Amino acid sequence: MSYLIIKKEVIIYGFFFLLLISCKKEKQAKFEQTTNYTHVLNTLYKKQLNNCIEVTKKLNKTTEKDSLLYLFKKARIAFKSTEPLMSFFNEATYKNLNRPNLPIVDEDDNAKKVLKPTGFQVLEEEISAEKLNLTEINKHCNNIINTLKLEANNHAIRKLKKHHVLWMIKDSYLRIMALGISGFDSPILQNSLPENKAVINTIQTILVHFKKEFKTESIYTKQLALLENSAKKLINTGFNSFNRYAFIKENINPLVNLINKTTIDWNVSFPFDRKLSNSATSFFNETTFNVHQFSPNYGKVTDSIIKLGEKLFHESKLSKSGKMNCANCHQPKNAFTDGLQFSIANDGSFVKRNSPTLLYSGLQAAQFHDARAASLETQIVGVVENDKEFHNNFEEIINTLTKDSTYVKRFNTAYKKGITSVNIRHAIASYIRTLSKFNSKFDENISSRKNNLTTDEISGFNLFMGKAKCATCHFAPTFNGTVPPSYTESELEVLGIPETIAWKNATINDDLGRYDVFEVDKKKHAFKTPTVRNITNTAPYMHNGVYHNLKEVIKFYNLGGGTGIGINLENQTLPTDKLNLTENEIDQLIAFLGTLSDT
Amino acid sequence: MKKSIKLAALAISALTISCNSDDDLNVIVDNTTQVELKNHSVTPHLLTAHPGYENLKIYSLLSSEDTLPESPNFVYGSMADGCGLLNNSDGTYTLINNIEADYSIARITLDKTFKPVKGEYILNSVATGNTAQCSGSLITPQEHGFGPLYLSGGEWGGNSRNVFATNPFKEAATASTARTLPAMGQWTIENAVPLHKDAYQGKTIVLIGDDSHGEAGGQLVMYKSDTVGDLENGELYALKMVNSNIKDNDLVDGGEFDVEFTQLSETTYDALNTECVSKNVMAFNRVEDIDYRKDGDYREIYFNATGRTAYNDTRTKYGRVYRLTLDENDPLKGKLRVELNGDDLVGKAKTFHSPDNILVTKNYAYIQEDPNGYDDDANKEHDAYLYQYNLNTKELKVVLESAQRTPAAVDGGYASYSDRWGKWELTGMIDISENVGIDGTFLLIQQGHSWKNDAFLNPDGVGAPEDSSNEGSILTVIQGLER
Repeated sequence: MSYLIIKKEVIIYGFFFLLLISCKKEKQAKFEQTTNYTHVLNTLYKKQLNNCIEVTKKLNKTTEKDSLLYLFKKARIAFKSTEPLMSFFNEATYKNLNRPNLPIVDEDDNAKKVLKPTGFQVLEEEISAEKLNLTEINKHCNNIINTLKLEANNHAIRKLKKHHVLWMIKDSYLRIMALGISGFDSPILQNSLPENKAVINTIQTILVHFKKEFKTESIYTKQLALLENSAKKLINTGFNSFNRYAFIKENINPLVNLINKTTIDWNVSFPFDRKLSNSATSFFNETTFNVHQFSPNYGKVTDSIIKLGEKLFHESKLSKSGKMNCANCHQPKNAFTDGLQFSIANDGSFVKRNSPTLLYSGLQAAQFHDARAASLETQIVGVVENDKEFHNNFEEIINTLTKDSTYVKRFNTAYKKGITSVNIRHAIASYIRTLSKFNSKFDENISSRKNNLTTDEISGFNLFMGKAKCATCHFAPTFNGTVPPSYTESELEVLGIPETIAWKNATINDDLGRYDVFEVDKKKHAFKTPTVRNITNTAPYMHNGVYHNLKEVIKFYNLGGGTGIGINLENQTLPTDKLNLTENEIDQLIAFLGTLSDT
Repeated sequence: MKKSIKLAALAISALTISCNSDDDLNVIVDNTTQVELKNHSVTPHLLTAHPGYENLKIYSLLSSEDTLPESPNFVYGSMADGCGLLNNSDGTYTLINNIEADYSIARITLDKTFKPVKGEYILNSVATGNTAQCSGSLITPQEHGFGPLYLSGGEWGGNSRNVFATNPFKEAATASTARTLPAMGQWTIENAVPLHKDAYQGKTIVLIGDDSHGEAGGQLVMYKSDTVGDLENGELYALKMVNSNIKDNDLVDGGEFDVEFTQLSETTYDALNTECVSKNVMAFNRVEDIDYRKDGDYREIYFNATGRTAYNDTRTKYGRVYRLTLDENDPLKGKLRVELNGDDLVGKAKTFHSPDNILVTKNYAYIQEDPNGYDDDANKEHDAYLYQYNLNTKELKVVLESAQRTPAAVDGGYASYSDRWGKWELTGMIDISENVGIDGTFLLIQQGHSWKNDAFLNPDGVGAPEDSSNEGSILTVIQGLER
């Protein structure tokens, strides 16, 4: 054992030294607290999480219906307050707490797991039930509390940079618009408006923390004022009567524009771009999305590639017979469809499904009605190799194109490796991705570039986003089923589509859809949610083209889908309740849908 | 004097790591081991040895239907997966085992003869928020220069996408609290495998497999800290081809390709994926398990891409095994080659069907399958195989297969003939030769995906039964395999 002998003088000097250090440390700590944004946001986040835990604990102890409902709403508000931070910094946790009350089907591996959902939406259904099942309620409360505790004890917010703040806020606006105000995550109580006010309040709090980053004060004050106005609009309004059109036009889009201004004001440079463009100034512009980011990393896209792709799109040499090309079934003049129930195969017979539009098709995470192709590039392989379609292979195609000197020249100009399978598909896909113009009458109006929507058209949009629940599957602004803000997943739904038009005792159409891909029972009759943009020009409707016009389509939904017409699928995911839309409301919906045609 | 040396030898925790290296340099193999390898479970092992391996000794140690004397209420739960074995100073053994489908981690005590006698849950589904703990890796002072600590991959279920870190000796009473390692990033985490301390002295490096197949693919990720034992302040990197035009399918024709690990600055799941795409990080179809060769240098890494029917124009469908050789001085540089290609339907790996876990010893790699069920090639329509790959001669052999479609399994009520081939999964293989003092001894786990019994529900005793699984697991020990 050795001893450390300390001289008296050293002790005294040491003491003062320590005092000095601790003083400095305190000052430094204060400094860090005001400018260490990671710490600031973690503190806010933890506070919000703990608040939600506390309210959920109270809810868990309650047994009486009215108190349950009251505390549930309170817990939901507490949860929604965490939404901007949680959904950005730990999306998995957010999803776990806020998923739809549908079985979670994992087609991914051998085990083929089907898990029961948990979280607030499931709890909402339990608490709204006629007969309360307290065991179930306690179970879900406990799951929620455990998930929140795990999150609170492990800091998800790390290495925060300014660009994260801007991404987070912009994503939050998109989530409010596309998933929040449509009632997507509060299907029963439809308490979405006060809940989204809580989201707005958190964004306000966050912005206030970043006040000193603003060089131009008006950009800061304008945002706060607009957020305050947004919060006001969200209270004291009924779910059905809320004017979502005005809210997006006057609040959301301008807020997006202000984020863009903030980017410039803070002098932020983003390390890379995302699908939702870093420089978007509204959610309804051609520049809202980086369409080419929806592609796997095949390489840069140039104008010459896009033009080459357009040429190939019309090139019949791609088919074995030399008689078929993409434009046969996807006719540019017909909104890139062919107006038929089923497209015509290369032998004159019919193919299995209806030809979907290619407009906005690039803004998806999967292709084909059963989502079996992960990208446009792999979708093209499916068409080329399909016996009833191009009935060809890429080796043949390369041989054929190589004999044409124009193609050789154009490919060699556009691509290092010239004519290859990858490059052929990349060119065509790149062209298809440009078919997302966002220049319809609706886009022009909601982005305040024009002002000529009729009141019926506006009411129709508000119905689409509200009472008619269309937007809970067809998410604004793409109006397809690819989930914002990350756009990495395209949803499939089981609607219960009939074989022929019948309004009772209908027979289910025998196309099993997604089931044929992985043979998972829950996915029988599941099909990808397509866009409704340009819908006035893409009849007939559904994967089997069963409906001729939009009145028939809306009647199907109004009745509660398959269940409403006598088809009782165990796994229907479309809510089975009737929508109770009046004739006038249906007309308004159709009027709105008519404004979604590209010009 | 002899006794104390024996005890001292045993007291040096010869720690074997799940899907990872054994400690073959410091522990004396004890010739007077008390271990008796035999069947301790009431469940038969349901594995059939293939030709050439008939002399293997295979025993079933523990299954979901067993009762252990010192913990009568303990149930060995569903989808047992990654594991690690420790030698205790009193001559007994501790097995840390992920119980994947019950979202928890169990600790099983085996006596000096290697008979399981006690089980308890040290991390439960409350702690993990119902997140599945998939593969696992044991960190030890001998192997890694710090620890002991057990890492597991949060792969599916609740708050998934994080690496979990658990103290193997924590009190079971604290099973309801979990710790994650956010510095390792948010991924679909299969496993987090720390490299041997001698691979790069003075550093802690952890390789992470991302088990996804989307547009950014599954990435091979590296966490690196210049402080041994630091799991919080290091940096993240991901593997990319130096020539980023090279895709997964371009690797199969042979040859070695230059790779580097490019630094990542994002921390969240989607942002990391987008960053990887923007930096041309290599996209595999589902990187699952990783292990390194126990050759003294420890820089020869093997990993599996399980495969998927997506992006097959550039990535594998049936699965591949890759070899990554890291540079002697710079862990961020290396060379990559395909060792075994399941997409070559006439090549040596033509029977490959979703290789999942991998264990690498000094001379062999042991590959365990989890068949996805693609029924478009006769060579692939078989039950899960355990392969032995000779790293020197490059010969690939099938050691054994899961035998759930045999009379022993069906008559015992464990499975039925109508089960799809390939339904049961092989996983969790670790080399325990050094631990038990018997050369060529391994643990291997079977996930009985069609062996269902409600008695197996909710073994961790918390949460709701319907949030747990009723599938059975079988832990086996195999002796006689080469290292």
